[in-house]
Amino acid sequence: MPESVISVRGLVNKFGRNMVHDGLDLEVKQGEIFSIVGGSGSGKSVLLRSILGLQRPISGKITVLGMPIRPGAELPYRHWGVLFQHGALFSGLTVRENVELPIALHSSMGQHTRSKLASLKVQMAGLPSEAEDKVPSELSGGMVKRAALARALALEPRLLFLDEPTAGLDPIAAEEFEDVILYLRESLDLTVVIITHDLDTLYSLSDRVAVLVDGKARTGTLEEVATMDHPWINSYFNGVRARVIRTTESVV
Amino acid sequence: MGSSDFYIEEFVDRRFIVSLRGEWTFDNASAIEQSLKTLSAPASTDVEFRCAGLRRIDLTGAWLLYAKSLEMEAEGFKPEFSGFKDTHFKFLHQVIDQPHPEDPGIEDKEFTFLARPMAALGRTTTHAISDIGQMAAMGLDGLRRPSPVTFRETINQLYEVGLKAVPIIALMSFLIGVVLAYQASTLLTQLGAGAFTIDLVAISILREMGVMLTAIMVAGRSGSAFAASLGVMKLNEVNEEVDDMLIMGLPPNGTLVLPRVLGLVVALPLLAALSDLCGIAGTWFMSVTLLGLSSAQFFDRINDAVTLDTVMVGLSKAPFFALIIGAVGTLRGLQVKSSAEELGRQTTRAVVEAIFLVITADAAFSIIYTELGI
Ligand SMILES: Nc1ncnc2c1ncn2[C@@H]1O[C@H](COP(=O)(O)OP(=O)(O)OP(=O)(O)O)[C@@H](O)[C@H]1O
Ligand SMILES: [Mg+2]
Repeated sequence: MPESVISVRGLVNKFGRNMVHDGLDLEVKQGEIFSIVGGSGSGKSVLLRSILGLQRPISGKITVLGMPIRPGAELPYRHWGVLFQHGALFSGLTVRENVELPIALHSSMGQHTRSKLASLKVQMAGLPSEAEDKVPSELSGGMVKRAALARALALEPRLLFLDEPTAGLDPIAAEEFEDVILYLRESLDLTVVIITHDLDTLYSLSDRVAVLVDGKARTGTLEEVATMDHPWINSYFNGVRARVIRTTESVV
Repeated sequence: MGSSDFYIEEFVDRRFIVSLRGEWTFDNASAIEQSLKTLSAPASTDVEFRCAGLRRIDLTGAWLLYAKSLEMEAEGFKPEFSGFKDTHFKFLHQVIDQPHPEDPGIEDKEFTFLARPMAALGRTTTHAISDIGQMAAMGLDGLRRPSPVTFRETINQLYEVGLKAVPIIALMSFLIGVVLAYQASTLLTQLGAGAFTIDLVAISILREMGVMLTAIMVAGRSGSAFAASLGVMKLNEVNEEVDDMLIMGLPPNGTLVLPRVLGLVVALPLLAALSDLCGIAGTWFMSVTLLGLSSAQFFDRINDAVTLDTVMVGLSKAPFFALIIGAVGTLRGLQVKSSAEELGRQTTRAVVEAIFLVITADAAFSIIYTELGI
């Protein structure tokens, strides 16, 4: 029985007069890859921040992994991994140290094991081992993404949040990245929430999709969502790029 | 035959069988590691890992097991696995079995008493020289290629470093005047020279204290602000602001460095003059309230003790102090490259070095003016 890992009820977020979320509901089930799409400024990152407890919503009830997300409440740090839209690595630490940090915080394993495990995660994220000893300012944009993914995976999270994971990656790298996500889901029973603009990623990974329009989330499988009647959704899923991808998918 | 929370060892038909059990997860990593250390198969047996009894395994667990099996292979065993989801190992295999460059030999540990401090001294010296060169280059480049916004930015900076510093500098100087007058009068009266209180205080404020304390205050306020704001722009992770300027045809030295330094060079003498005024006002306040002088008597004494030279000696130092503070602050800011910590370090350096250099320069001026007999 797939239980719900994230549940959002009646979320309202507002910045001044700018109503970003207006009674948004969302349900993410155990083990699925759940994608969130929406136009720029539709409130995807704000939704993520609310779910993570970084942003105090005006109203609404959010539960993650059975824990209510409230200001001041204990957060499930140990069980989630987050890849922020802009990487957000610690600038003063090397890539390996960045990955080691959460491990050191939450485990008593020895220094040697820890650093080996961190290397493993770095390689999993597709970085060459020379990159381990570099600091973030010496990395390319795509490498920063991968390093941040390695850090998000450091604690073997049960729940992984990825904000624009494949933006800035070349298509081959993006595909490798998708393979890693699929492997993790397959063998580790991971739940993944992806925010993306990338239709390739959307089509190759998602089990279900939520489209953020008018401050609410329209949720369903890709097919269901793609046929919903809303101007933004229509132009998003029926745009030229979407059609190209869908035809190639169906040929394969 | 041993057993632990994580496996049971047994011999069946000359096969060494390790039945895994429990939770092979991240949370148990160090315990698993400990117990794997004691696991060793007798020579020349077949080794089999049975995974059917495993309750849960995550990537960390799989990796620990994989590492153990590699270790056993290196010892000549051929470990087999049964009842195991092979996606883990396939994946690990794929990830780990890429060629690895060996760790480069970490720094040579040869111990030499002299080499290290000498090297440090050499580094400091070359850094100092290259810093001076860089400052000169920045300044000259800024002057040679002023940017279209240099003038406006300079006005901005005048407001930031000059006008906004007025209240704090006025207050500080007034208080210094008060304190100096109080202390001097107590001491000089004991020595029977109370009449010279005003001479002493006025001269020390106008020649030394006013300009120096102003410079120190400005180094703390603006030197740090210069370093921090330029440093953040340089942190290329955050935003490539300096690069943005370059491609728009805004020369960074003319846009960032020159206006700040110019702003200070104009503002600091004015602030120093203000400080002189307020310091004297503090002294006057003390004189009429505590020493029982009338205002007229006070200004008579000032007139006798102070010449225009006294004031000019003090104020003439201000532009040089401003150059020092501006150059050090902007240079340290632009030297930030990679990290938030570095930004903090460079900002601290900017302030500490600026104050140190200001005091050093003041000592030099002291000697020069004394030699010149002014
Ligand atoms: N801290 C903030 N203060 C004020 N307004 C904000 C803040 N954060 C976000 N907003 C506003 O909320 C809206 C949603 O922003 P959000 O970052 O969630 O967009 P997004 O869907 O993630 O877009 P993108 O795809 O470009 O990343 C925007 O209109 C933005 O201006
Ligand atoms: Mg966003």
